[in-house]
Amino acid sequence: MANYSIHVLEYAAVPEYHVSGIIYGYHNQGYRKLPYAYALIRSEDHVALVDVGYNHKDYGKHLADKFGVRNWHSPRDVLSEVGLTPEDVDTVFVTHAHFDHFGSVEDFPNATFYIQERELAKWVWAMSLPDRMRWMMVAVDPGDILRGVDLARQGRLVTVDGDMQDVIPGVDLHAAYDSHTFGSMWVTVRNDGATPSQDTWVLAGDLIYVYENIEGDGGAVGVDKVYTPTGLATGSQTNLVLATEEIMKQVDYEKRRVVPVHEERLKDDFPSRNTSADLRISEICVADGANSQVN
Amino acid sequence: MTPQNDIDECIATPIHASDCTSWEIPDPDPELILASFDDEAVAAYAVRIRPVYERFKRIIGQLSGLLILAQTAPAQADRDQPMVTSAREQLAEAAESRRESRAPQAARRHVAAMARIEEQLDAVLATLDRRIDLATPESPDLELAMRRLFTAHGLLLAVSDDRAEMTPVDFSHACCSCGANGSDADTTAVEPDASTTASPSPQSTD
Repeated sequence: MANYSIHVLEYAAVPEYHVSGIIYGYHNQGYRKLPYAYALIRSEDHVALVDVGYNHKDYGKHLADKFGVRNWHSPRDVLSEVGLTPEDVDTVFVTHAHFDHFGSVEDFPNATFYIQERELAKWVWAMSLPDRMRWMMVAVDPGDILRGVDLARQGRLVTVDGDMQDVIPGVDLHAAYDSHTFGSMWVTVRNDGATPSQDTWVLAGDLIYVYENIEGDGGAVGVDKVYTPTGLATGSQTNLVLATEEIMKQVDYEKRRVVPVHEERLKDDFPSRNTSADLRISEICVADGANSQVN
Repeated sequence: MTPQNDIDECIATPIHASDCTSWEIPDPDPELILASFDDEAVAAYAVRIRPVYERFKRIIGQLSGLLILAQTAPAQADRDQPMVTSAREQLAEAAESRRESRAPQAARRHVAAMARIEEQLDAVLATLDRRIDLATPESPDLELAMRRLFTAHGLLLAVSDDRAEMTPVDFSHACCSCGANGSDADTTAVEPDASTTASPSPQSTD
């Protein structure tokens, strides 16, 4: 029994992102494409997104000109490819407050947003620090936080303190404090609704960018594979490794069940198609009775 | 409907959607804000004012975060109070720096916008002294504070200027920063097969 369909929807990409930013210690390894994507979790009763992309209106041109971000498309365009509109989305899980995950909140007028309280509180603290410590607030857009005020006032922003089970049936949130960011979290879908589940999927946010973060080369330490964390950690790489272990435990160490949205090679492991706008849709699983969106 | 009618209607509305026109700020025209960036005096002003810009940007984030926490975690007021104090001190410092920054005539619109940002932030900080009044969605204080913050943020976007490295988000180490702007990336040799399948290699710590 599968209650939810899960899709990864690309909405933009950096064609050449340096590999050392994706995988800790992988210096001088060149560049690779880094897709920007959000994950869609959909059942008959719910339409949920994991993250919502960046605010193209405010700095899309800057990102394109300065950093080579290409092929941005709005949530309306992206969701239309799977027969949905932004208005259909009722739940959004914000894995962390970086601009490319927490930016397009105003595009989802009917959604309730979930974010770790610590993520907000610690960003506020970080923003209060002297200039010489500015590194700690990299990639956070004060405008996103400001739009969060409006969400809170409308009762559509829920700050979560730690783990939270069954936010919608069978979907849990797990905190990974001081890892990629101060209050990152991942989303676990127990697709059979059971606890423990025999059909678990993890939407990892930026705790895991790509497969090497789970199965990095372990030659240097004499083993086949090691967790090799992402290059960027406002918290610590140690905490990223610990979070990875928790994630892998949840999926019984089956790599395929962990879905890193920045991973271009999802298309090799899951049925996928490219839209006419050259945006990839990867189909992680299909709910019972639902139709494929890629065939 | 006239703009005044729009405003009246907005004031009468307890909760505004995020796409409500009450939040809208006219689109900025950076060319007008720092019209003569090639002018040495304007460029020098930009260098002087950039730390103030950066501080204003972060205070907008701080105050926004505090407004969220005031609503979603009202029991944590004691935890948050030092952040209010810190924002107040930082605004005072930034304000002093702004006033001391000599500005050429060509940058006058920038100067005026920066002064307005400061004014809005100062007013929001005064509101945060009465945090209890910000906890409910219907609070007129919250409404006004949000209005001021959206105004300040709109102005901040208006005075942002890539040429002066005044940008609304620090992307330098973000998921988009390919370590370079496009040109740097283009000059670096990329192995054809490294684009999607960079094979694992011994890790280095350099």
